[in-house]
Amino acid sequence: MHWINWAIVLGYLAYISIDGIRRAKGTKKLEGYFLGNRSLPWWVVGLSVMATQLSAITMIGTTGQGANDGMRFVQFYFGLPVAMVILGVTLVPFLHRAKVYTAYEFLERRFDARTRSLTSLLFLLSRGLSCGTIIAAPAVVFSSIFGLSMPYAVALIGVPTVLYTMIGGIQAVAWTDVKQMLLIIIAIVAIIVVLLVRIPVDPDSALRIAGAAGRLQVFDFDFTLTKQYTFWSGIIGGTFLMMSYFGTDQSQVQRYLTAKTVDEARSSHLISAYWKIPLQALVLLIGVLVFVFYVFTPPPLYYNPAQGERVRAADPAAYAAVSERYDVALARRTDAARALAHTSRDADAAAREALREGDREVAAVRADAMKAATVAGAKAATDVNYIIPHFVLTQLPLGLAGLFIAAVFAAAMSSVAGELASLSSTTVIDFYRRWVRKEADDAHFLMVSRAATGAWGVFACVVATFAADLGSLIEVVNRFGSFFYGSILGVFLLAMIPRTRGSGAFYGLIAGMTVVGAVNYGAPSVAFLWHNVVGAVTVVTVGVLFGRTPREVAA
Amino acid sequence: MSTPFRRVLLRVLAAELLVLGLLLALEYRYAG
Repeated sequence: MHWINWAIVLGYLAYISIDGIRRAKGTKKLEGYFLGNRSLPWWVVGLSVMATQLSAITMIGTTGQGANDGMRFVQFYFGLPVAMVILGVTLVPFLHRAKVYTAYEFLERRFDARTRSLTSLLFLLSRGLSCGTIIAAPAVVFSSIFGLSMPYAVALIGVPTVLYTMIGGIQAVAWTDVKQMLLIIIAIVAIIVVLLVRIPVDPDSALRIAGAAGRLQVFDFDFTLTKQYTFWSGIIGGTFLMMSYFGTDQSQVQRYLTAKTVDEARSSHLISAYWKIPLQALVLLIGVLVFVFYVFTPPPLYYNPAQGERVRAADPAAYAAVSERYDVALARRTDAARALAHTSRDADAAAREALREGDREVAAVRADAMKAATVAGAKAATDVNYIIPHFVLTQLPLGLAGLFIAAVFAAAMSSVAGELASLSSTTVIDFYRRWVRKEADDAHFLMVSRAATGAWGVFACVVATFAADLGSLIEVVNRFGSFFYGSILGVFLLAMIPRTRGSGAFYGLIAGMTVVGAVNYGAPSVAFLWHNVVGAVTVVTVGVLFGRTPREVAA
Repeated sequence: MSTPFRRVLLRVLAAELLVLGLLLALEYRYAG
């Protein structure tokens, strides 16, 4: 990468670190460190929520998915606006008025200590490891592209983030998130403009080419539980998942607890309600336009250069044969796209079919190339995460490439920072202050909180460094996470039903996770979005069946 | 359902319908 691009990336890292660290002056007390003295404006909280949710995986993985598979992934977010409105009248006022530090603290007040400890333990287990994978995803790509060793790539993202989160607390997280979110939006708009300029046909023809190749298929109205992304799984399963994530996950709850008032907390959520789907559609559109760009500019056989080198070294003759087939297929697809662009819309059925056929041929050769990479010993048999970085580094003008890489860093850092702050608050409030040392001054708890942030940061960096070797373990933990996401939402929903009992919540939670586990193993093809519905409904049903405290006792 | 909540819900749903409508139009025009 050109030194000017590196200067932009390093300049961003230095600026964001200094900006985060200088927020330390507002964190003399625990409430300042974890909740920003409950004084942040709604728009800061709202942008911070969006920044945490948008990770580097979105910037390089989702865009790559757009290039390969098109826009259909946007259906995943269809339930989000409704979820945000429901949360605005349910959990947000409940938790904000309870003046708690963590969502789980509220569960002890409402139910009992064991329900609080179990939910917070589940959160620590899953978030602790997922924090590592959030760093690992971009670090793996950057280490391959820039030839950095994995520990250096992890350190580049992890060290500044851990430093400013540890020192500046949630204020550093929220205010840096605002700047990171702005950088991400500027980078997204800039790359779309560059793509529209660089594609050698007009935007209407570009979209016709994308549409003919199936990349603009957004909706799937098929009500099949086994399909991962459909309109129905997005609207129904997505609403439950988003309610669980934004309403009960400490990495999000902590953010709206920093708002001045309940109304400001609600308003912060409405930013996501209005803007998340358009933003996600734009991210996928980048991928779609990159696909069109590579219809006219021959793309590499392997977007991951290390993968290509490995196959070439292992079997040069086979590599040459696949490359030759690839060149022929690409040329045929380009000719078909040019013909489509010059055909009128009324009589383009044959041209569309020719392009579809050409694209299928390219996809078939790429599938063979990926098989060859697996045979040659490459760990990942896909290079979807390398499509956008390859485009950015080879096609974007000087400076803009640096801006986009800085935006990928920003996306990773904003997510990691939010998670570190929430892991630290849960560790200190729900475990240390609850079970180890109940009474101490703020200075002591502040010191422990900073140590906890640092310790979780080191843990996340270690997990990220060894992520490739821990692959199956991380997958197990992620799968485990999907078992309890809906169930935890069920516990919070149960909390809002008057006079439900602690034992109902605790055993309901265990029942919810068990049923989701049984569905997962008994019918593994059921899409994971439906697990959230199953978990939440089971917990509420079991919790209500356990009975309710008699009205006179509750009073 | 309280009035402010109903108003917020309607606004958010209207905005979502608008976005879904635009996506549907994009699909209808280009994906065929």
